[in-house]
Amino acid sequence: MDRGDALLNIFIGMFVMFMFLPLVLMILAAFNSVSPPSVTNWQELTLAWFPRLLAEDRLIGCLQNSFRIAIFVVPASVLLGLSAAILLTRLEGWATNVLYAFLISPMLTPGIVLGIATIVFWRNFSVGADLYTTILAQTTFIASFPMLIIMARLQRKNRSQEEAALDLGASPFFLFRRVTFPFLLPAILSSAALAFLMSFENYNTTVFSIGGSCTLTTEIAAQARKAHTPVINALGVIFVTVTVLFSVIYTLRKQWEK
Amino acid sequence: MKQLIEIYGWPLTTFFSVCVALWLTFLIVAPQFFMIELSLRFEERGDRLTKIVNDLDVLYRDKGTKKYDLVNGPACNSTGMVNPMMTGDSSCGEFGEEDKLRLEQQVHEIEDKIQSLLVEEQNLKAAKAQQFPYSARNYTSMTGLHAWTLTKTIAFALIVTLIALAVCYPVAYALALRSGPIKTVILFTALFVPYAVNELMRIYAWLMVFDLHGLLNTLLDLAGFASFARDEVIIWYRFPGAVLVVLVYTYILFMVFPIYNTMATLDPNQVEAARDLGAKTWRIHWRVIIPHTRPGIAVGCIMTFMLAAGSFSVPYIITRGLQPKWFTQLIYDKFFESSNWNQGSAYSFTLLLICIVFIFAVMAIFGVKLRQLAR
Repeated sequence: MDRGDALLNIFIGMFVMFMFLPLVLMILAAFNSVSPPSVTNWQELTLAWFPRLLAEDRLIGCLQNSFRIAIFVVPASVLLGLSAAILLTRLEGWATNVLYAFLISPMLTPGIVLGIATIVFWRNFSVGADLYTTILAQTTFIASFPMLIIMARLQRKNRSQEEAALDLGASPFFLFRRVTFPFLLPAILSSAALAFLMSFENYNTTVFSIGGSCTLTTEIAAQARKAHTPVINALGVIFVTVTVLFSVIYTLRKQWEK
Repeated sequence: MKQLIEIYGWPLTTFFSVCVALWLTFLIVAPQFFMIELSLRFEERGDRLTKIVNDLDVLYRDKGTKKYDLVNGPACNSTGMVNPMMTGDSSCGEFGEEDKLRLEQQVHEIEDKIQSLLVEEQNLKAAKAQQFPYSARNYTSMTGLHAWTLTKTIAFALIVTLIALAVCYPVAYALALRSGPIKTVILFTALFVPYAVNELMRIYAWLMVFDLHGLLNTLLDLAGFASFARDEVIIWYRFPGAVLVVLVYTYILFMVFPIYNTMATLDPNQVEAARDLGAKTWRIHWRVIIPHTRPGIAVGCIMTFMLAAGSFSVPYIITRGLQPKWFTQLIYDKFFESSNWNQGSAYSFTLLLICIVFIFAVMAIFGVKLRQLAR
C-alpha cells in the first residue's frame, strides 16, 4: 500500500460520506419531534411521524396512482424491449443501425421533452393529460432499458442452440416457448424489476405529462417546496430501508452464486 | 428478415415487428414530429383576429342579456342599479312600449355588429390559411432573459458534468482496479444504495442541510459566523450554488457506473505490464486505462449532462421561488401557466437540440461509435 493508495482511500471515504450525509440527516430527522424536520434542532425522540403517514389521504391516493401507472408501464416496456431486442440481434445492415439509434434515443432525451411531446401529440386526438399520457410517456424511454438488457443476454447465446432445435424438427413457436424464452427469462425478470423502479421513481417526465393528477413523486415534490413535515422523512426512511435491504440481498445472492 | 422468420416463424416475427413499429411510430417519432411542428407555428397574441374573437364573445353576451330583459321585464332592485345576476324569477312589472322598442333597436345593432365582425373574421382566417403557416418566430422571439437562463442552465450542466467526471474517475478506478473482491462488493453496494433511492428523496434530503435550522446554519452558528438568536442566518435557497451542489449529488452516480463497467473489463495484467516496463502512473492512465474506458466516460458524460440540463426536480425543489427560474421551469410555465404551447414546444426542442449536439460532440471527442455507447 503506497501513498497514492492511501490518498485514494481517503478520497473514496469522503465521497461515500458525501453520498450518505444527506440521507443520514433525513433519516435522523424522521425521529425528531420538531417540524419542519431538523436534526440539529433536536427536541424529542419520537416515532409519531410514521403512523401519521397512514393519515395522509392525498399522499396515499397519489401512491396508488404510481402503482396504477407501473402496472401498465412494466409489461408494455418489457414487451416492446423484448421485441426490439429480438429484431435487432437477428437483423443486419445499415437500416438496423438506424433503427437501433432511434430506439435508444429516448434514453438520451431529457425526460421533460418526452413528457411534452406526448401531451402535444395526444392533444390532437383530444386525449387530455392524465395517467394515460404518463403511461405512454414513461413507456417511451423505459422500454429502451429492457431492450438493452435482453439484447446483452441474446448476444451471449450460442445461435447453434436454436438452429439445432429447428433441425430436430421443433416448430418455431415451440422453439421460442421452450428454448428462447426460458433462456431469456432471467433478463426479462430483471428488466421488469428495473422498469418498475424507473416508473415508480420517475418525476421529470411524469410532472409534464400527468395534467391535474398526481403520483407519489409529484406529491413529494409539491410538499418539499412548501412547508414540509417529517412525515416525508418517515417515508424516506421506508424508501432507504427497502433499498438497502434489496441491495444487500442482491449482493449476497450474487456472491452465493459465485 | 428471412432468418427471423426461419427461426421464430412468421406469426411471432409479425408480432415482434408490429410491437416495434408501434413503439417507434406512436411513442418516439410521431410525438417528436408533432412537437416540432407545433413549435414552428407562431401564435399571434393581440393581433386583429384575437381581438375580434374577444369582441365577439362580449357582443354575444350583451345580446343574451338584452334578450333576457326583453322577455322577463326590467330587473328590480331598490337601489335602481341594474344587476343581471339579481333578476332571477321575480320581475318587476313590464317595460313600457318605448323601452321595449329601444331594447329591440339595441339588439338589432348588436346583431349587425356581430355580422360584420363574423365576415371580417372569416376573411382574416381565409387570408391566414393562404399564408405559409410555419416560421421560426417561436425560436427567434426568445427574450434576452430567457436566452440568458438557457445559457446559465447549459453552463451549469457542463460544470456538473466536469465535476462528476473529475470525482468519478478515481472512484471507478479504485472500485475496478485497486481493491480486492470483498472491498469492491462493499464499496459497490455502498454506492448502489444512494443510486437506487428515489431521486426525489435524494433531493428532499438536502433540505435538512439548507433549511433555516439545517446543518449549514447550525454549523455557522456554532462557529460564530451566524446567529439564530440575532436572526442572522443565511437563506441558502437563494444561491445558485445550492442548486449546483444538489445537481452534482443527484446525478453524479450516473457517471460512476458506466465508467466502472468499462474499466472492470480491462485486464489488470495490462496495467502491470505497463508498470513493469517503467511507465509512470499518469502515463499508465493516459495510455492504457483511459483509452480502454472511453465508451464508459462518453456514456457517463452524456447521461450526466442530459439529466442535469433537463432536470426540473432539482431547481423546482431547491430554489423554492427564491431564485430566477431555470430553463426547465420556463418551459413548464409556457405550458401550464401562460398556456403558450407553441413557444413551449420551441423551448423544449431547443433543449433537445442542445443535448443532441452535446452527444455528437462527446462521441467525436472520445472517438466512440453509437453501438459502443449502450452496452
